[in-house]
Amino acid sequence: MIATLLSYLPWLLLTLVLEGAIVVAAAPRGHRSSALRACLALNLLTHPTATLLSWRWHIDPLALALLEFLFEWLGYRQLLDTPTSRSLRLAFSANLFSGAVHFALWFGLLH
Amino acid sequence: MRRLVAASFGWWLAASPPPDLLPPGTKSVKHELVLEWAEALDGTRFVLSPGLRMGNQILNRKEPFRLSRTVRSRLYAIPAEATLPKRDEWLSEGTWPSCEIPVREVRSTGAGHPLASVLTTLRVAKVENGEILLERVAEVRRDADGNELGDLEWLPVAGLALLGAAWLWQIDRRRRRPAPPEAMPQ
Repeated sequence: MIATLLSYLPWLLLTLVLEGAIVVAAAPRGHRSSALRACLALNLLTHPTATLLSWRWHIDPLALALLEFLFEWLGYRQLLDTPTSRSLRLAFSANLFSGAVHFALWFGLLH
Repeated sequence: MRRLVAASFGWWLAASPPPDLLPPGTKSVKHELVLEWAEALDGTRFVLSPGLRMGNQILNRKEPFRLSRTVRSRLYAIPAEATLPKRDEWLSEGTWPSCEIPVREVRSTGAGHPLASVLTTLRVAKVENGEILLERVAEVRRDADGNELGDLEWLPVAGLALLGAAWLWQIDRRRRRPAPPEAMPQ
């Protein structure tokens, strides 16, 4: 169990750092700490959940990424009381950036 | 007929992505199988058709083998004295007792998962009425260092998800809490 946790944690921490950075940069001044809290909490739920769904039931990672994005979009809208368009931009940019870095790392590790 | 099957297979291969192409965010897993059978069946050859290299593969007791990546393999029980067809001529159902391999091959897993290899042990329970009855004896999953992985390795990850859910609930609860009234000036 510890081996699994140690193997998984770097990927989760990377996601938290990448998405947190984007959300802090994109959030309006005065709301950055609440936006960061929301981002970390949302990803602490969605990333392990998506990972488990992938590990146990081999669900397509891209489909899971889309579900994560949708959930985080709704989460930002609810938790930050922001308009739909702003929460959509937040979720989209954070997930796109994180996904691109993950893909580059995965590709690099593969080769 | 064989040419038609081969041509159809070629078209299907061309239309499908390469079987070794991993979806993003995953890594490959080596899944091998091992077949055991009682000494009473030593006069029988067990042949995998097709095997990993797409030909007929004679299986040795307890020697690891892998399944074909593109075509569903079948296991055949052929008397030792019978002549085997050419290596690239696949056996077909009905010629000898046979069965499908009752194992779902694990080819990949999430990139963060420590799983590196799987070894599934099957045993031939009996061969009768044109069928082979296989039993799954054991399945061992190991990481890259050869350490065996347990069944509960998902538990810590699920724990993290629960932590996230609890944190979200707390954030949402705080958000809904009415602001405290301003203190009365003294």
